[in-house]
Amino acid sequence: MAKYYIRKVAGFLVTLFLVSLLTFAVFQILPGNPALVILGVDADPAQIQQLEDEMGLDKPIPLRFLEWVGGLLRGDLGTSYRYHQPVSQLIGNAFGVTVQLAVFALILTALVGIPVGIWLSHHSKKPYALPVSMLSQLGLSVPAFCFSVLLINIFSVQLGWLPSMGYTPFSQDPVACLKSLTLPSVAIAFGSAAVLIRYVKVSVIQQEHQDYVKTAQSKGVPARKILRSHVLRNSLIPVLTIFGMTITDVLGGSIIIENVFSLPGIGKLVSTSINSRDLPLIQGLVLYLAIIVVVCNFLVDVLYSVIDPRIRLK
Amino acid sequence: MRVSTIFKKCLGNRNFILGSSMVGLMVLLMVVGFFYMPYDPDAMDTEHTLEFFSSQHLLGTDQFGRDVLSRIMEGTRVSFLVGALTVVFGLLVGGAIGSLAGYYGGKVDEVIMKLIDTQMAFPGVLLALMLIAVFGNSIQNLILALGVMSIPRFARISRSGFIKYRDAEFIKAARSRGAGDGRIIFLHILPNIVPELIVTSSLGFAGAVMSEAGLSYLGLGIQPPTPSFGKMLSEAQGEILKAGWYVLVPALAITLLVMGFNLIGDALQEVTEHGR
Repeated sequence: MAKYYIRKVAGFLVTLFLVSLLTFAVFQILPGNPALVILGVDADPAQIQQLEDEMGLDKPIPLRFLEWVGGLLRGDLGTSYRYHQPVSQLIGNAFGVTVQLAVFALILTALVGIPVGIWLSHHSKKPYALPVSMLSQLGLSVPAFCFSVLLINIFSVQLGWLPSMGYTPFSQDPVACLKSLTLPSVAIAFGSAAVLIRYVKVSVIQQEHQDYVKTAQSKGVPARKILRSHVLRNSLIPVLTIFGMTITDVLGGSIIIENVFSLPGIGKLVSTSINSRDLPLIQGLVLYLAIIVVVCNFLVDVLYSVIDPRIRLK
Repeated sequence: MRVSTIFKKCLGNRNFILGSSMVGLMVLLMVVGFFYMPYDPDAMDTEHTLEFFSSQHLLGTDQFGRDVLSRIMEGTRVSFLVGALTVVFGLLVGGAIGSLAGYYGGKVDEVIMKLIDTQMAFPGVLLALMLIAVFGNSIQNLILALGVMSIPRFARISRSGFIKYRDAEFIKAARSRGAGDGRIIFLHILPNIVPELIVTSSLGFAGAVMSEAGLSYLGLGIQPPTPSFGKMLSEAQGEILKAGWYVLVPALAITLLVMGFNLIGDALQEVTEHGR
């Protein structure tokens, strides 16, 4: 058992290393002089020289990578050229907004996805389930940002219930904060709930064909009880892995959605940093998001093996 | 299963019919656009801005008075071009490395899968954004970025296909007759996983169209004045208070394409799996 976890942790560390290596490497193949790219062609040569020194461009690449990783471990990701602030500080400020959005969206996803998936596993053939199936098919195919403009059109422009853009910090006004996050979260959750519904449905149906269900039925256990204490427990195990994927989806989705709703989170920072060619900031953001994904997947993996010990034996 | 039976089964599949009508409508708009467009898509008319649907402008006009239908017709070209080239790139590169990993297994497989897993750690359009940030903003780089993004999807599917067949009886038979690796890979295994690859291509096309629209929405994809659905959407969002209908047009165009290809992919998967 210890062997299983050692292997998992080793794999996790290797992935972390590879992710940082890849992020670092991509920015090294930048065509032309990075200092020139950042400052523009008509920059003062002295300024370019200064920036080159700051970035340590004269040092060999492996040394720069080591320095960069060393900085990472100390929480130092360099300084943004545009904001003249430490990258880690900028990310820290934006991170709160993205976390709130992601958590809100994940809660909505779970609250809708799991019950509807279970319900559909029993009723999907019935005519009254058709609208629900169609909605979940729409959720799978309508891009979240297209769905967002529809939501804005209905709930902000026509009805005027919810703001179409901007963000109010929770500490300032909790109600306004929830309001500002509602539409973006719904837009993200619409798609990820649809994915979850599909997996829950398939998983429940698969479990119901297992022998232990037949045994329980022949013993006369009521259907409700079979579902609750046998089928659900087993069918939600694979769903947990999907939930790991959902976290990735939600983070990926928030990059565009935050821009649709002008939320000052990580996603908004990503697009502004690319538009202003703020390389250290882009690099920091990309790495940061990737690390979150790797950590979440690792935690889901570990949780998975705790819930289903059979995994550890494979 | 024979191609003609697959085709017949597709025609009986509701999702396939629905999906191909959606894609068909967009293809029609594109093809007609090569021969005839109601207006010049770039011609501005400041006296008729943000007009609602009418017999003159079937889908209205945008903030510069340009005909929205003509712009949609031209926009389909970008979507299809980016989608098709992205799929070709993903299919060639992803298919190749997935096949190698699945066929040879062992260390090769381990290294390739580790790299694929690493790539999967970059959520959504992040990887494409990073590549665009580094290489600059152009349609070639956009396709390259989306192509790289689609590699894992193709690699995984061809890997699992090759794992499934590499120890099959008919492969052993071919090997004992002296067939080399190249012959086995291309002539014996590859034809068997074509259905899976077609399904993945269809889903990949939908993904590429969606990502392109998303990046163009952010202003990091197709550059104006070339019409692209994503860019139109973000322009329309700016006018949402004056003309709420306008955002719905590009949003619907993107949705039709994405949903159409998703439905076709799902239907093909259903049809080819049932036959086994």
